[in-house]
Amino acid sequence: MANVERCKAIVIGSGAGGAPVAARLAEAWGDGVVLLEAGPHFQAPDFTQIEREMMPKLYAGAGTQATEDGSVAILQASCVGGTTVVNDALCLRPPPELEPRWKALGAEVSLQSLAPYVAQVERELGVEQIPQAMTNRANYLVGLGAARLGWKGERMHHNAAGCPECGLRHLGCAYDTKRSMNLTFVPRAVRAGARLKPSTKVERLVSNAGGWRVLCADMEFEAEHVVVAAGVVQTPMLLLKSGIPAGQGFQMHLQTLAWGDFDDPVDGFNGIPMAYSVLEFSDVYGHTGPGYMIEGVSTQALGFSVQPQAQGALHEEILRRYRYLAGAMMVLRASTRGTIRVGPGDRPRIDFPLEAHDLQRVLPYYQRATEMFMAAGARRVLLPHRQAHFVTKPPTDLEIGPGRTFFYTAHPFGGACRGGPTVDAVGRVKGQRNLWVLDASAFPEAPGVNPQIIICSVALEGAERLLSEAA
Amino acid sequence: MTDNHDVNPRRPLRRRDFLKIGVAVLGGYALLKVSVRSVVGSTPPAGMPLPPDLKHLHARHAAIFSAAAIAMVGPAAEAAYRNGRWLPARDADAMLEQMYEDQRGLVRMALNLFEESTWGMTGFSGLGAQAQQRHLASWSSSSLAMKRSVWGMLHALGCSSFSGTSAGWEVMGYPGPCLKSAQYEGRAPGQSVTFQWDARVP
Repeated sequence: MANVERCKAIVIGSGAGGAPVAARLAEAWGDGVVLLEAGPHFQAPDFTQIEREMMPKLYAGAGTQATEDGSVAILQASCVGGTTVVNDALCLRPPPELEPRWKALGAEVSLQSLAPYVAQVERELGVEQIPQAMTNRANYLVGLGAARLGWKGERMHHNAAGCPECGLRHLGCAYDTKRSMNLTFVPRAVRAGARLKPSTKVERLVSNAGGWRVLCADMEFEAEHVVVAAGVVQTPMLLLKSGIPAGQGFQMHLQTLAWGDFDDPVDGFNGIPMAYSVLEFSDVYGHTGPGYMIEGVSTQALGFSVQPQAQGALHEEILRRYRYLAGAMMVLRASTRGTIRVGPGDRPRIDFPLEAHDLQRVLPYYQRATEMFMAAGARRVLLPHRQAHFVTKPPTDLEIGPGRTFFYTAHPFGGACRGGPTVDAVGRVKGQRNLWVLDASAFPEAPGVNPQIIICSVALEGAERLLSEAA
Repeated sequence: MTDNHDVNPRRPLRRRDFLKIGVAVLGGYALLKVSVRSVVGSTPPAGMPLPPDLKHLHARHAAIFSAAAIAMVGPAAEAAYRNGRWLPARDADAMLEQMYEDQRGLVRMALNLFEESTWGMTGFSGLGAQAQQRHLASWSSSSLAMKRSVWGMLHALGCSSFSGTSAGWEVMGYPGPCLKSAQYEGRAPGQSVTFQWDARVP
């Protein structure tokens, strides 16, 4: 017989959705709240800053998680604090366009009512605009190219004031300056009495006399309320394993790259990896572009080497240009909707057949990125495409598609969308009592911007709603 | 009622017959290659070391993967491999440890398929450098999604393995990560590159 712990509420997942919820519930219910996290609890000294050591420890599937056909890598962390531990600390506010778009899909959302939660999250995370002095040369060159072309852009905001600029945000902050969930809302929840249980993976939920039994490998919990916030892949997986229909409407910001190759060293591995954003082609914050942002990005050695789709002598030539490259990332609100299912051995099976509408917007991104870097003074531009590597003019005839272009996402959404078959307009699981989904899997649509602040504030608002209903 | 046409031993060969013959010949050829390989053993590049104590890759798979990774990463990688500074099979084995069992099976199957897909009797790992490059390129640009996917897997595993080593960093001119811990020698935090801002950049 497994150990049984009883509590008022259980929050499953300690990332951008679960941690704020746990903190708010614990402020009301104290030690009646249990926060479960499947991954381990790392502290700053655990972050060795070595890519080959930390990637397997921090990332889901050791960083190999991908769509079923292997065409899109899906980067998520599995540890206390979730993906906020490995993200680039970018903090963008909910765009005004989010409200009408989500409402049209059946979600109840109001930016006016969300505003106090956004403010609270920004305070907790110490959000500030990245100072000019902390912007590295790679990001500056993105801004320079955009400015010379008259494109609108700006330095982004981050939650890492006082950052020592080691460039290793994606491996966990060894300096405790990035105010990720493991340093903010999780400790706040624990201070308020929440019981944090790291390395505790939930296998299944079972409805039990108005409440829930939460079954783990060697423990069992009984709770009146359960909030599932295990992340976009694991939340639908857990619901499915519990016999609740889920997994539809999986979406993402589709991401790919381009690099300007400059005569002088750029050394993008120094400093803050992502700092500058070109908004000209986005469809948020009043822009009416095709729906992608261009964000400056720098990658350390291991991460970089897999991105250009070259082999042999050409691959080596690209490696030798590493110091001279400035990167730019496409963040495209993809319209494709995929599915998440439970595969063999509990493996997530993620099908995401990229639609033509999404693929058609990738070539224009390559064209704009090429123009931008050439305007900034690059000698040529490197594209992560198997048919084209270095170009000096915007490419016109590339075949864009799975297995030809390097795609990835660090921004997955959906799988238990609000207003969809799984949850209602505010996050309650349909047909179930006291069961909520309060993470990005409940987003009815990708927001079009880096989502950390939106996930946290929407989750906080959901926690408040849960508390008022429970009262 | 029997169709006379189908039982006539002297009827002319039709398209379907040629397909059957082709499949039989290819099947026999593949079987012969596997048999020869099982007698000869795996074919690691001459004089190249394989790491002991691999958990998920058999020696044969380790040899295939090492050959593919070297060809994928480029000429400098071979030197690093020969002098023991880079053991791609060890890294791939560690990566497989983090995967689900069915994924590990797929990787092993993909390695077998990749090795057997060459026309010669040597397999991929026995080809010359130029032939290996041509073979890899044909998988990279294949119209078959499965082949492109296998290329992507070999590329990701091989390249990330090399670039996580000091040998890879030397090729890249990467000074290594900027480390806090005293147990490693590393650069001090902070930007080492300063530059003048163009006033037009907001």
